[in-house]
Amino acid sequence: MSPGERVSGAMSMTCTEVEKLLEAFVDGELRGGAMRETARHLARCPSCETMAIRLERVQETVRQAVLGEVEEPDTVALWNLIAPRLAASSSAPPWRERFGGLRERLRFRGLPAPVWIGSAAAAIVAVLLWAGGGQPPGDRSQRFQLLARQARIDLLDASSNVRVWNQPDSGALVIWVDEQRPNVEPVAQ
Amino acid sequence: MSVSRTLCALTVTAVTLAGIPLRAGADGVALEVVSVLATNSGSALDPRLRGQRPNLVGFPYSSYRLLRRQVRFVPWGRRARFNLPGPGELKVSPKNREGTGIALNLALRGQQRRRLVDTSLCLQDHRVLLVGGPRHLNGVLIIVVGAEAGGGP
Repeated sequence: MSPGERVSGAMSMTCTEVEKLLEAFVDGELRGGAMRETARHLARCPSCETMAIRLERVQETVRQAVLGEVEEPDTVALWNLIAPRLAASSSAPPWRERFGGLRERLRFRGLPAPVWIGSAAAAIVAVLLWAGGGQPPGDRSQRFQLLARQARIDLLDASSNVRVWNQPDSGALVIWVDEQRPNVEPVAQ
Repeated sequence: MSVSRTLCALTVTAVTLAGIPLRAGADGVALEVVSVLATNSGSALDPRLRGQRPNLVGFPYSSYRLLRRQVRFVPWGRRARFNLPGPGELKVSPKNREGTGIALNLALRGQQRRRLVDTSLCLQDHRVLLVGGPRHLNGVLIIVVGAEAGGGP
């Protein structure tokens, strides 16, 4: 495609127009209509897309080089920080001494601790069962409606532990994946 | 005769006018995926992430660095694959317009393409969703997903 030629669609930008915006586009400085139109042009114009990919690669290479130099973990310094804390924790009193008075402290209105702890546990189980009623056992997918200012989740199926919340400042929906505790096998592509 | 011509002209005008607002985004969605490395080493917000500050302040990290930013124009019903820093990838498929929102399918894959999350959601136009947690270097990745569409199918 020659510069100045428009890709299909009367509202598209020309290659020359896109070239002028490409650097700002790759830097993330374009917003709104300009960003959308540039992205649309790139989706349809292989030569401009190639140029954008090259720019992204250059940026990526530079960024990785800088990261590699700056963020090499210093394990010796880390161990020097951890070692004194380990020594301090090993001198803590044994758990029997620390929790010895717990049984007495847990007496509530004359009832022994096991009775009201059991009651509380039963109440929690009842609430959980009520909340999860109708969910077939073994079905890992969670169907729910999470209403938020910015997004609504209709279906969430996760192989790891996942937490969902709204950012307090922006209201943006967050899906947080805990990679530490996976419970399924990898899926084939 | 003149009545039928007038009706015909009105119909053509109405159809043309009805088509104009849809043309801007009727064919697809501009998706933006920003990969951020969040760590507790140092205290810094990448200047290029200034606009994301309200989205990032709630996380328990002190340093946020932009690693990669990708924008793709994706036709409705098609799927875009975004390679994330490290071994992971994010697949996003815009399904259709739902009022002022954009219905999307989103799949996050981790190491060895292990499935981490599959979700269907409706994201408000010009708003973002944050997907976080995959470990990378000395921190975690926070992926900011934004979508923009002028119209819908």
